[in-house]
Amino acid sequence: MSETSDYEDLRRYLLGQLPEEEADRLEQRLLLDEDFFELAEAAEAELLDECVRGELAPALCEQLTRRLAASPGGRARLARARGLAEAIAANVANVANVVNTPNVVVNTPNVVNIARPAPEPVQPIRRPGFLARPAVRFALAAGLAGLIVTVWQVERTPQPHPTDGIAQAKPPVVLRGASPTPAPLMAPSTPPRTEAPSVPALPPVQAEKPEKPRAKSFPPAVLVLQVAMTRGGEEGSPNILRIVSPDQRVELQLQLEEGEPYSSYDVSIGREEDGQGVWAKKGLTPTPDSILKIQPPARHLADGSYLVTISGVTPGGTAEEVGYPRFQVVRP
Amino acid sequence: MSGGRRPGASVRSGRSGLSREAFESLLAQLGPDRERAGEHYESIRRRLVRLFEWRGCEFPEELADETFDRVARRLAEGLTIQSQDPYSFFCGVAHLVHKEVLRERARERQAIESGDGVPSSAPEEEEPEDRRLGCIHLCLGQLPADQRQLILDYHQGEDRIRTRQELSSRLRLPMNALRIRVHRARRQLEDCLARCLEQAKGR
Repeated sequence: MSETSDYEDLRRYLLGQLPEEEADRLEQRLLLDEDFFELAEAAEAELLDECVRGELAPALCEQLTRRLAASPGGRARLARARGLAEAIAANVANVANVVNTPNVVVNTPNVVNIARPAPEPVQPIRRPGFLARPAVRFALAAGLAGLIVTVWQVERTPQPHPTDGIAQAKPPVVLRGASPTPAPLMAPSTPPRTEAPSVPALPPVQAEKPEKPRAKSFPPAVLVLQVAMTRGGEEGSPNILRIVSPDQRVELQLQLEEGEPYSSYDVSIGREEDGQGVWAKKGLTPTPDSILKIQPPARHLADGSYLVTISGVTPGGTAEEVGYPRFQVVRP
Repeated sequence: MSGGRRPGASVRSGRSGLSREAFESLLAQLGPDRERAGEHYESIRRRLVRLFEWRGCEFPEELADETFDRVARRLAEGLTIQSQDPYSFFCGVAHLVHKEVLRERARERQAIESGDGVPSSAPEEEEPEDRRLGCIHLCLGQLPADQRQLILDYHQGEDRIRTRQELSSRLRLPMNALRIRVHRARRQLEDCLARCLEQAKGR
């Protein structure tokens, strides 16, 4: 097996992306081959480092950290990876040289002591300030450029169109599913960390292009559904999803129970009247608030009642059904 | 853990049942030299713990011990491992243990949903940020200069792939060997870090 292939397989294994049979084979080799095991540890450290730096896709990062965070050892490695990445990012090399002074000695192989009589307190590494972060600096630069363009436009356009601003400021229609316990209507999303490698120069201000007239668009139809382990078991008022256009974006927010052990989820939607499936998606990962967000196309959802089947997939690849919320589509 | 049962507890309840004979059979299976066998035991255990962690298990150390217990009991009962390497047998038993944990989790989840809940374990106390970073600082300073430089070179640079390829050719090491070397240096750093945090906590 080639070097690259070994390493890539290990990354996929650690991210829970390797099929069960391959994972079993790989684990046997991990027990047998010390070098391969060390390579796996190295791969894990690199993945964690990429996570901390925001270089790994958030969904993959979530996949990895969720598994590791289950155990005390994994949690400790997560914390260490975070600390190391921050320390290295803070360019600790120079500081480390200063720290490596005679007042720090190792008495035994196992015990680190600070020698007397001048035990200088260890200075904690200062984390780079908020404004020092490349992403923040990039955002500030981009914002400044945007401000310049806006000021330029305002100067150039004496008659603003107030209705444009009103239309954009209108909140999206949020429909709430009937649920015994309140759930957030809009789960706070965690945007992927996009850190620019360095602070880029201010982007050049470009001449404004005339805007094309936009087609009429509707705000997304969002429905929050509680996931209960009963088949269509919610009593009370039905969960109504109002769809006003076949092009409208639909989002179902499936509120899972917290602390589920699953590494991913499979979701399918079927019509209640005949059980006919209309949409399905596999390998979904929830937000940190345990919400699965799905966007079935509105054109697949005609008027009627629907049953959502949610299956949790364990890190071992076993799928277990975890809930069956239902909802009703209403079109004007 | 006041009166509550930790998830997967029944899978891990067999530790007390391991007799001395069973343990000796296990060591004998791992090698004729008892000391070397002991080293093998530790090495396999460390890897099993990590495999359970990678599978997302909550109590990997106990599951690794449970795996050893089951293998030892089977050996004491007269089972002979036919395979050239006993590792694959351990791996097979570990898979069974893991599957049992998954089944048990599902049962416990159902019990919780039906109102017969299991109290969850308290969240662990995290190391204060300053203490952790202070220790990283200290430990980086104690690493041999070449290893510290290796870690920093490996992790620095905007185009990391190219930086690492250059490092690999400069050190005349294949990429995976370089990764392992960096990992070993990093492990030293982590060992120092663990000791430092332990000491700082005790002060």
